[in-house]
Amino acid sequence: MKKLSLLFTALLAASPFLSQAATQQEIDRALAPVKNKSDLQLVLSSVSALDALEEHLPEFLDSVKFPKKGQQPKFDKELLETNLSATEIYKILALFGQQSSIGQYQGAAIVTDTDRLLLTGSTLPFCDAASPIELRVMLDKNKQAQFSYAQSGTFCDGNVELTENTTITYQLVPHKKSPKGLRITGAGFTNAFDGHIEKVTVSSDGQSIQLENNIENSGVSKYQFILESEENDLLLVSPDPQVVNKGTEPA
Amino acid sequence: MSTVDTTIDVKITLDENNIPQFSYSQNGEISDGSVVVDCGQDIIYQLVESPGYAFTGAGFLTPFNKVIDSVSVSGDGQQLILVDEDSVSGVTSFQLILSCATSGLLLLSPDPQIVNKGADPE
Repeated sequence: MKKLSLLFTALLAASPFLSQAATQQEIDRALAPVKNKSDLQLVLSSVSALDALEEHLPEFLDSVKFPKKGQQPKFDKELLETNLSATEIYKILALFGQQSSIGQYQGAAIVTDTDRLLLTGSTLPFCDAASPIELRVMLDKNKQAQFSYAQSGTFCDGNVELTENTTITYQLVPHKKSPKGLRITGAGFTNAFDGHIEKVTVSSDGQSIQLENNIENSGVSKYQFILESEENDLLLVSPDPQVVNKGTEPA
Repeated sequence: MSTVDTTIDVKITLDENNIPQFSYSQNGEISDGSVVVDCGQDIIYQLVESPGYAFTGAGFLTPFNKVIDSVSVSGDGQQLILVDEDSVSGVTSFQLILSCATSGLLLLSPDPQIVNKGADPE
């Protein structure tokens, strides 16, 4: 196993990505075509992404609320999620400058590769191991478990990139669509011998899990969370987040 | 409903990079570990020539589709039994979960195994 020299730095590689994501959300809101009722009427006067709602359009429009200045417009998210594909929802969210929240619509229909890309979050930034990573598990209408990750209200892809020995914490965040009584029981590794992660600890209430890396062993380690629930006796495994131990390249 | 057991031997070896490799065989023939089921049966995964490893369970990407009804592990961890009552048609994917004597971490089989149920009677 290749060992590289230790690199201790206070800066985690994920931080710039989080800042970029927050900045992008601000840009999206600033350039949103619909910021008030007048804007919405203007959009409705011609062909728009809202047409995808077809007979559900009146119900959706009734749900649109424009709170005080500076706050995001609110609307019936479930109506979008139940009736539209991810791409159709994304286009509507873009009208309100909220397209970065597409990851919340895990129950949306996946028809095209773009839909899948939007929902699997492969374009999301890394998570930042410096603070707990919120892990949300929701069942879609086919009872398939969908995993999403977030920190401080910003979605991230569940992966972390490390440059020093760190304890990575994932915290379950309950949701009304989560499997009942969901608990983490552990993490599994397809390569348990690469030394990237050395210790796994689950909290006594099963609501959080901590992984401790060893930066001396550089490389990528994939792991999957193992969870139990009161829905049935079978164990649920997550798609694989990964940790990247970044050392300095040997000269 | 009659029950016919299917037994699949599982062998775990380490390659030159110390990466676990899973191989499967059924009735002496190499297989990919997948099973096609057309009647209710127990599917047994049996560890062979894999000292230091023990099954702890199976993890499912889709545990709520009712294709597999229950999972049990023998007391010595050498057998994993999936109970399939065949009451629901469909496909399910799962990974074997094992403990290993040389690591405190749990090992997962890399490729989800697929159970195809019999043709839908519709």
